[in-house]
Amino acid sequence: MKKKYLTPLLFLAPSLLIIFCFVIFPIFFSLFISLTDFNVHSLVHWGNAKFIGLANYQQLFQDELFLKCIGNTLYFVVLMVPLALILSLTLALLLNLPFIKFRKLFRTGYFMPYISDSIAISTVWYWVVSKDYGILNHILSWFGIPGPSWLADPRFAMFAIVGLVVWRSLGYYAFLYLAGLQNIPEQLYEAAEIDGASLGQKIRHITIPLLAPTTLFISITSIIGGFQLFAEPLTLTNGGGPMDTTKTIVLFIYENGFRYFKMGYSAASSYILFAFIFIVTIIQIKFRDQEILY
Amino acid sequence: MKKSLPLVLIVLLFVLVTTTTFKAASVETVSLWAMGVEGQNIGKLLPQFEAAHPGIKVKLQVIPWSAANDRLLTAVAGGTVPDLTQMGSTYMAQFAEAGALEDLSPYLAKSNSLKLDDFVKSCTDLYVVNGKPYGIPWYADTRFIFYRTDILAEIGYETFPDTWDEFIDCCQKLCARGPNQYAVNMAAGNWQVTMNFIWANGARILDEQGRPAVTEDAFVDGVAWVADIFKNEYALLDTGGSNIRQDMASGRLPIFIGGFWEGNLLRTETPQIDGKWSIALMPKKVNRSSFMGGCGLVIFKEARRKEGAWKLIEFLSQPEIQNQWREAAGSIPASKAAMIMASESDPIMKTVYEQLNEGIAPPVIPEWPEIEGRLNTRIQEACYGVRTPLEACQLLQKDLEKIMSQY
Repeated sequence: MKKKYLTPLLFLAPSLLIIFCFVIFPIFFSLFISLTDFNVHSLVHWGNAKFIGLANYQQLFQDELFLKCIGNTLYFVVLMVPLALILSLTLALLLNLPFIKFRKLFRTGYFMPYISDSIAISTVWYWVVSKDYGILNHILSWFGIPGPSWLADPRFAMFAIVGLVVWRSLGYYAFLYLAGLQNIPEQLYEAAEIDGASLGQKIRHITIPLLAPTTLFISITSIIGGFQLFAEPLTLTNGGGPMDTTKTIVLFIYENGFRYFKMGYSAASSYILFAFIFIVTIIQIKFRDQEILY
Repeated sequence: MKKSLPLVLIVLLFVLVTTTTFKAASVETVSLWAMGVEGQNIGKLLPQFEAAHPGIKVKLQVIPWSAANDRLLTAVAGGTVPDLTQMGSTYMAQFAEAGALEDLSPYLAKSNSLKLDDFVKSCTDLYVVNGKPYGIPWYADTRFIFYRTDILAEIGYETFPDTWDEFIDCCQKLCARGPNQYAVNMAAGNWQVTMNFIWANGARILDEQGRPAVTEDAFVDGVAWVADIFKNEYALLDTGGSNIRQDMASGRLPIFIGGFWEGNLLRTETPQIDGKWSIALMPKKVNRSSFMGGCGLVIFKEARRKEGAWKLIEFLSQPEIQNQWREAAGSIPASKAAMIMASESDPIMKTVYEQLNEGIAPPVIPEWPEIEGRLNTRIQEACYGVRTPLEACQLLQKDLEKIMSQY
């Protein structure tokens, strides 16, 4: 028995070693740190960190700024996910139409923002949403809508970030939906046509239900990604936004760990984020198991 | 022949490695980290240093400011520090408190050429933590008023307003010039600018015992003053993402508050207004405070070549070298002698020196980065009108008390 596993294990050993050192060990070590008061005094002399049990977690739930970050992050996810799903499905349906010319060009064009560097795109977006010099407000002015100050107005800053993230992911999600659409048998549409179904009814009763696996996948990945929003608010609103309206949980973790050197506190907040994502994912998986497909 | 070739190569490699390392042992290599503009320009001064000290070579690593804090932090935590580095004044307290920096008092005591008195006092204060000097000031930075001399002359101000009341009057006249014309370009969320006005009212953040004192009248009134500047639209809460210098050139926002480097940027980016702008002191209320910052040079405790590093610090602190540095990098020398030399030849440097002497250093404590964040948020809340100045200050007091009770 043992000899059979020796050779594969040897081949896997380098990878496993790296994963252990750089992924598994840090994950458990940071759990340990979250139970201590590791801060600036412990930076050089690690022995200075004292074990304080769940005190960091208790403090976090009373921290006004942390609670605000949780609220901001949830607000972002609630805005972003439905918008991303609806818009990318629409885009996929449009791209799937038989009479589209230059289909490949469109698909590449929509996919490009997704593969571009997040910081670079955010910098460009910063100018797009500029109040007096940005394209967005310029276009709005054609319809007589006075564009607000997207990044300095506490009511609108989050919308600018949602816009950026949705726009970036459109191409990728539409691509996933397109693949899902190819898997829907033509006969179903033909049968519905014979029964006199309208386009709307076809979409509601055939397309959407049969795309359920894709929808579930996109919603899980976008919720997990949404909870971890970091680069876009950092670039667009300098890590906080007007009165911290765009400060997300990951920004809080980063700030506390790398600016204030409060590693213990920061590690605890990252475990709270982990708990959030874990619970949400479990709920969604349970949901999937109950789905009846045909 | 084929079989012995690898052996020959290995022996050759061995010989090469041992001889090069042997050679290196007689020449000391001091490793230096520098950031931003300084990093790009310090290479010009290093040959001079190496020529004056034949046994020392300097190995420079340039780090962008955006990554500086993280790089320093990981180096300290991981024990991979360079011998010396440029360090921003606001980073000092944390790294000194962590025990990562070398106490420079013995070096200062032994030095023939370098004394702390050589530097402007508010600069040296920035690098003294718990009474010990952990850094030597390299260059100073403070905030100045940059303004359009021609536009202000048109509305009746031949020189920049001297007092608060004159400043407000000037702002009103500037805003009355027409639609989309404002007075001063400042960010509500940047304490390095807003605190100038609050400090100028005689306010302070911490009292003598180090306790938060932001509900004192002077502080609350200062916040109210700043909030009024935005309420009356002398300054804009959102400048629309435009460029501070372009707005200066177009006259839309003919005054801004910025660091000394803005002068260089104005010269390169908006040459069309050359000769039409100048620097002035902050307008006076109780005093003319301006936030004092800049960078110093620090030696790490775990450095291996501290003597060589100290020699580099002595070199960079000499007045002639400080002036050369001013010309190379466009920064303000921290050395008094260098500033006096510069003031004699350049009237702008004279204003700079006056403002430096009224500089206020933020408290050099490890809690400062958190305090910064809270200051920004609460002052913003007052400027946006979301809370009254008094409410904002009371909440700030609670925030600061929580922060200060941590260590």
